Amino acid sequence: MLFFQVRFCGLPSSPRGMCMTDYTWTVRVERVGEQEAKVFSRNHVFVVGEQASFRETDPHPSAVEYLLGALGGDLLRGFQIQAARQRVAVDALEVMLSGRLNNPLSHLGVVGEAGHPGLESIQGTFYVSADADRSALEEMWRAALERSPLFNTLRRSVELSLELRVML
Amino acid sequence: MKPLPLFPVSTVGSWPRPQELLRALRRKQQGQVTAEEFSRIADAAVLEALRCQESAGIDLVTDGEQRRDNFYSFVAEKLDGVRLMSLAEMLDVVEDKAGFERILQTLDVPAFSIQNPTCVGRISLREPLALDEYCFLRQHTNRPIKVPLPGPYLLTRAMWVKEVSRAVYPSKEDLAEDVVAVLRQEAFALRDAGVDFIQFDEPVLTELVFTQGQTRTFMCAALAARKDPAEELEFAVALINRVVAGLDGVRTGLHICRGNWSQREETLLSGSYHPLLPYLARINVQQLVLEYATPRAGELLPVTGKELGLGVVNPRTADVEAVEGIVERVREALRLLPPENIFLNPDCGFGTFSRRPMNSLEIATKKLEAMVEAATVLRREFQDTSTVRRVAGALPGNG
Ligand SMILES: [Zn+2]
Repeated sequence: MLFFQVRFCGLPSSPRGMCMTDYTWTVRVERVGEQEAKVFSRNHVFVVGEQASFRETDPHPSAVEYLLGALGGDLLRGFQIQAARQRVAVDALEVMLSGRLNNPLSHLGVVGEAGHPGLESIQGTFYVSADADRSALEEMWRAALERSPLFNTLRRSVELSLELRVML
Repeated sequence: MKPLPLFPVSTVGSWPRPQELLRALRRKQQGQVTAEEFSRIADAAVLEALRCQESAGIDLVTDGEQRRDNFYSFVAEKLDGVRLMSLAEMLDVVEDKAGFERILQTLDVPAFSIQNPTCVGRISLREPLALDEYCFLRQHTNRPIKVPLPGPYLLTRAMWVKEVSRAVYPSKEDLAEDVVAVLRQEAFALRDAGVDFIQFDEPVLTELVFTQGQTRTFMCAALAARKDPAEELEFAVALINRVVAGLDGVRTGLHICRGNWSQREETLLSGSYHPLLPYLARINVQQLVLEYATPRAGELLPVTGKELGLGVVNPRTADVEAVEGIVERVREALRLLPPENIFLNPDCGFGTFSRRPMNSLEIATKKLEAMVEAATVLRREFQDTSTVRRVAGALPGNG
């Protein structure tokens, strides 16, 4: 199975000679049960349940939750990289994200519903506890956002409001 | 016990901690600081907290709970059989993970800031809970001293996490037996050492009545154990009364509030103490330390035969309360209680959770000063009746 595609070329390249300007990621998703899909990505496997779930419990996270989780993971990791670059010791990082569909009823196919089933807004708080003053942390946060693939994708289509919260 | 003037001014316990101490607390949890090094930093912070209280002129001082990470989780360091569990660890063991997430959102805090003292073995005092805090403070002040302790119901609810505690204590009632024993041991030691006021903190009681037993804070880890609130309240009353039974010669108090974790008032519980009234009347402490400085608290309620630690300033707001407003609030209380039964205090601590101080040092100090000024006005007015008060042992309601 082909998990991701890499094209080789002679332009700005990574140490292994891959062309970074043309890098593409590929995942393969297969139906494995009535209500779940298995995602193969490089040598990883994970399971996605519903598209969007309105239930309290489910066997697997929904696609919407993966999207939020992916954004959260991206932001945490991005911040961590900035912190390492600034040699700031981080005690703890955590992000809480909640997303809201424009109209969940249109996702459910309720006839006559206006709006669309896409995410309307994502709202979140990024908590950090680190040995640095607030302005340094804010700078790192700005840099993390600037370089985040998912933040920069989503902010073009969704109302994204994220808040940095510095914990003592 | 030392005498107190009329309308004594006190705090509920905690005081904002300096940055250096917060760093030290964090490093202590990570095992990166020696006990001596931590003590050195904490001692300095306690002395500074004391200086603020003394310079503001309050009558009954505390050590600002500077050494504690928060008002109850600190017991994990002092008790055998208790371990601080991070939320991540708790999530691994508790069944209702979605319930935890709801609580985090209500509290508006990150999971990493929450460490629950969890019962993992048979509990006993390894070292005193607060006696050394008291002894240090005693060396540095002549003023009467209040020592806050977590109440037995709070500790039982927080510490009994079914999935890890039931091997030793099949039910939370079983754990409560040892919690009562440990708190009695500590309270009697504090009394013998000369503490003037022991305050038990039981913030969870409001949660029982305002949320119909639906847990909304991490002070109750036992999420699955949603019982009838009335039954739980009876249980709480019995536990507190067992802790204070025979505890004469020291003033005892019970602090109940609706939460002190956020400056956003709308996230905190609200409602009158009214549903608690029948229970409070049966609790054998001399004083109820209650919050009355915000509209969330509802109307003043009479609890006969007890002193009232009247909350007259809001620890969470930036505005310093006007002296006349405080005096007015006390006058309202005077319709229900004699002057010698009224203490003035903030609604809650200024730094209940070390990482979430509710105010700056400057504003917290100004709030103390406003209470002291109000007490001065009131004392002038009630001079005739103002006699130096005798100590608590002689007061009614001491079990
Ligand atoms: Zn309180």
